[in-house]
Amino acid sequence: MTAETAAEEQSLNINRREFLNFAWLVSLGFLTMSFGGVTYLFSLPRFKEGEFGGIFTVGEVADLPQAGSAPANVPKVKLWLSNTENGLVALYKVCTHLGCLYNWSDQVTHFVCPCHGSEFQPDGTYIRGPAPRSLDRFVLRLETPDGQVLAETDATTGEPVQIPDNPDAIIRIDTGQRILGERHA
Amino acid sequence: MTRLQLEIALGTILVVVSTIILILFGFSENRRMTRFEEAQQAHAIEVGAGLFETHCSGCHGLKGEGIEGLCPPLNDRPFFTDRLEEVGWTGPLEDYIIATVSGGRLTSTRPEHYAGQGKPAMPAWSEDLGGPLRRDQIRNLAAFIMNWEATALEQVVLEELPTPTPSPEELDDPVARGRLVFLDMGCGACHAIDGVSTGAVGPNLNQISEVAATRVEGMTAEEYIRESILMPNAHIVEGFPENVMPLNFDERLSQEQLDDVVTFLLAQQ
Amino acid sequence: MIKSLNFQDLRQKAMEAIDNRVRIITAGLGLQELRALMRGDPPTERPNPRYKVHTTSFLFHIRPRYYQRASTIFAHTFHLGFFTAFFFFVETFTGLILMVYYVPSPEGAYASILELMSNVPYGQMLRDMHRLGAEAMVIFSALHMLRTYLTGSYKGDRTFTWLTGVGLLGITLFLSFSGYLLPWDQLAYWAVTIGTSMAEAAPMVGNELNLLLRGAPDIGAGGLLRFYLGHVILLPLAAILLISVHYYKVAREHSISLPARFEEGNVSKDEEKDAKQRIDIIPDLLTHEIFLTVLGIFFLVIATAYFYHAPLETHANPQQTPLDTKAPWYFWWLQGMLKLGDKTLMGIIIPTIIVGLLVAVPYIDRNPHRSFFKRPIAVSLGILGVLVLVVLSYMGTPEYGIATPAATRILQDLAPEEGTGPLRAIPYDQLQQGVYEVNVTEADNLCPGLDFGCPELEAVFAEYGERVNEAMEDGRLPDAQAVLLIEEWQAGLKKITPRIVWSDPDTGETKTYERHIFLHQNRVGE
Repeated sequence: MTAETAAEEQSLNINRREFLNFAWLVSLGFLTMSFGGVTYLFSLPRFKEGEFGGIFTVGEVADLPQAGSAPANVPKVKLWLSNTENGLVALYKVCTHLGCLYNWSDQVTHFVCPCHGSEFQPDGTYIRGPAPRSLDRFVLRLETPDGQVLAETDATTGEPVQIPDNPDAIIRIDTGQRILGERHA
Repeated sequence: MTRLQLEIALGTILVVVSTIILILFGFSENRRMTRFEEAQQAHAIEVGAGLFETHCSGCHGLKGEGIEGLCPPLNDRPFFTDRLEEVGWTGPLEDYIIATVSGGRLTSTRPEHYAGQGKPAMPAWSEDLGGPLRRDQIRNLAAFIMNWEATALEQVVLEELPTPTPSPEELDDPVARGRLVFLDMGCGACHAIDGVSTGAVGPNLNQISEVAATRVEGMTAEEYIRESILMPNAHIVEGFPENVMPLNFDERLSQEQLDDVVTFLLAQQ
Repeated sequence: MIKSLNFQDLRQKAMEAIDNRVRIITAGLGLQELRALMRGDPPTERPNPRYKVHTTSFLFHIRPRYYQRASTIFAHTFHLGFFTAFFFFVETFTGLILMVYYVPSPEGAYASILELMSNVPYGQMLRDMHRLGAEAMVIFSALHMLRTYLTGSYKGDRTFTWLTGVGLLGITLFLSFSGYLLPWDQLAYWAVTIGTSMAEAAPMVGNELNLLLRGAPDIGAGGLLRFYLGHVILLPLAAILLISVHYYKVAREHSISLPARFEEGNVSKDEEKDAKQRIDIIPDLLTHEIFLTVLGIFFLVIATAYFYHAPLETHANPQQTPLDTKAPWYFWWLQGMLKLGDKTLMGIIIPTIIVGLLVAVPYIDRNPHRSFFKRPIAVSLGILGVLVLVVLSYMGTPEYGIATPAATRILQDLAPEEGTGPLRAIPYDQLQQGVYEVNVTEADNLCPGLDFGCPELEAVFAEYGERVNEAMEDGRLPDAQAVLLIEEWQAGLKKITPRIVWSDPDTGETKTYERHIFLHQNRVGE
């Protein structure tokens, strides 16, 4: 480049080739982003909420453990059915900290997670430990054999459900409706 | 010698030593692999033992002795010598065990002796068929059950532990004795009591002492319980079928055992 | 025509042809030159054909022609970078071989590892080498980074190399982590569940990130396959790319640094000249490197033949988390942080900041000096960082901060859910059938009927009693009664039941805790 063209460069108008190159680069950029999107959508799994995510029939009221005693384990659906003093609650077995399955300890009569030591009350309330919130619950429904709903968990508060007097009442858990445990202070 | 020459010399020695070690190692590989397989088989039996205790002992008995009227024994001579021919299975016994555990039994093959737990007589245990066990777990169970062959064919005789019940104090308590009768006689296989058993064939007995008092006009709880054990068909709870509960407890239980188990049940409230 | 060819001519022509072939294969070194190399003689031709190799050969173009003497001083680099690369090659090689047998599905993975160890000659050795090599690679890459930091070898031209190095450290850690899942045993499954749960804690993208990693909300077949592919293809490709860039810059741009005293210190002219003297890669440094390689292989063979065996716990059980689950040791610092607080802060934000700081080290550090003594702040920060890492790592172990109920702790230590433990290590013959009650049965001479007695059983029973009494004394297990029950269960199988009964300190009700342990006589504590 000569001195004159160097000075002229600042006021050079965009020529056709430059414009075309620029357009090309931009479109290649878009193509790359599209490929990125394609790869992302390809890799993100879709899963049928068939098994987990559906409604499970767990049994009858007559099969429940006594109020205040150790909860019933429902391994297939990863949940604890805890019959507390205030009613029945279905707790998601996955600890709210990092995903380990917590256990019931008969020795201290509450839940203890083996991974980092978080502890929870029989109704899922956080006691201590690194978990950020209380245990998650599922919506629980108590129905008569013909389908009449006798009691159901409030989907917003997740409060324990009072068990009706009917020992034949069927317990159904809706694993698609998970109520997240509250964050503690 | 310069450092480099030293390194070349040392390097040569190390290569020779490494090669020799690898070759010698190779000679012992066969033995190691056999040992490993034996250890794996041992581990399979151990895991199988735990699984059997958790899932099967309630019906087939803690030591595989079975319960008359309910589930067949798995630890006796006929199981290892006659069973396959009886059912017409042409493959090995271990495969038969795996197939039965995996698929369960819709109806019993010997309904007069071992009726099973209703419908189905034995549930399907395999994960593939809706059960809780993985394939490797079922194989471990089979390994454990097969391990009864030695004692079943009396090739090995086990010493009996002098005191089967661990804590001497428990034996003085009739409720504790009754609990043992409840478990040993197989009641737990069909009737659930919190913290004792998980049977789901017959009615739950959690609050039986209260329920028993109100079942039949004029019968006390104790009378009702005694009658239920000795003559099960006298009063069938609604929703449960007749003729499932064994009818021969009057022969199988001694008076003391009967009294103890009644005391135990009367303590359930 | 044929008559005029004498033997001499033929021989000469043959030698020329062979020499030509050799030159082609070796990128320029003739037979005579090769002999000179073996003898340690100077080059036989001009220009030096050994240097030409570095431009003509593809494999050798990444190596420099020479290093300066002082940069090869052992106490300067400890050859850490070399060994990191060495272990990468070990991992690649052993990994490729192991791929012949490994099956990346939940149904097949564990069984394929058992098959490898029980039915493949050298199967266990290769698996052990792969595991040991992985741990070594993590250690060496971390030490290499520490050395580079302490000698200030990230400044000036070396800034970009440092950046690729940080990237390589990350890739090494992820390679190790992704490989960790593959055996599909309890250790693998739960360690990786915890690790990927941290991905879920990432703000905004957490859920998608978790799904991308695991292929499903929980780790299953999808997760295993993704981790496997990451482990054998994606991460190795990224590693090879970054290693190439990293080493190419070292070899061709700025070389390995000299100890700072030669660049900044007061050294005589002679010393400086000596420090900068060139040592050729071909043949001298190459010989040295081959020696180091042989040394490394020797240690791997000895270690895996006699001392080190990769662990394998029981088959992964997604329904049950074992007690004392812990992350791999190089992540204990992270597990320690997680015990301190919120998982998004401790698991995502702070680690990201740490990585950011590491990357930014060359830019934050405005001090042009490399000498140890002229960089007190940088050096102290480095040492502080290492100490913090060690303390956090201790906090990450299960012993710290997890309150296991007393009876559970005693029995877990006696007979852990995973692993051997003192009870399972007792030789089978010493397990005499009987009821052994703590504080009732005398702990010595438990087996008068056995020829050699049962010392191990007595030792374990004594320890069991001590632990129970301790807990009784400090009030954790009031009125404790403990028993050890040993029964013959099947031919060659014994059932051991340790049981502790006590009164709850608060309610006074009787509580009991027991475990059922089955031991077979052929079992071997791995």
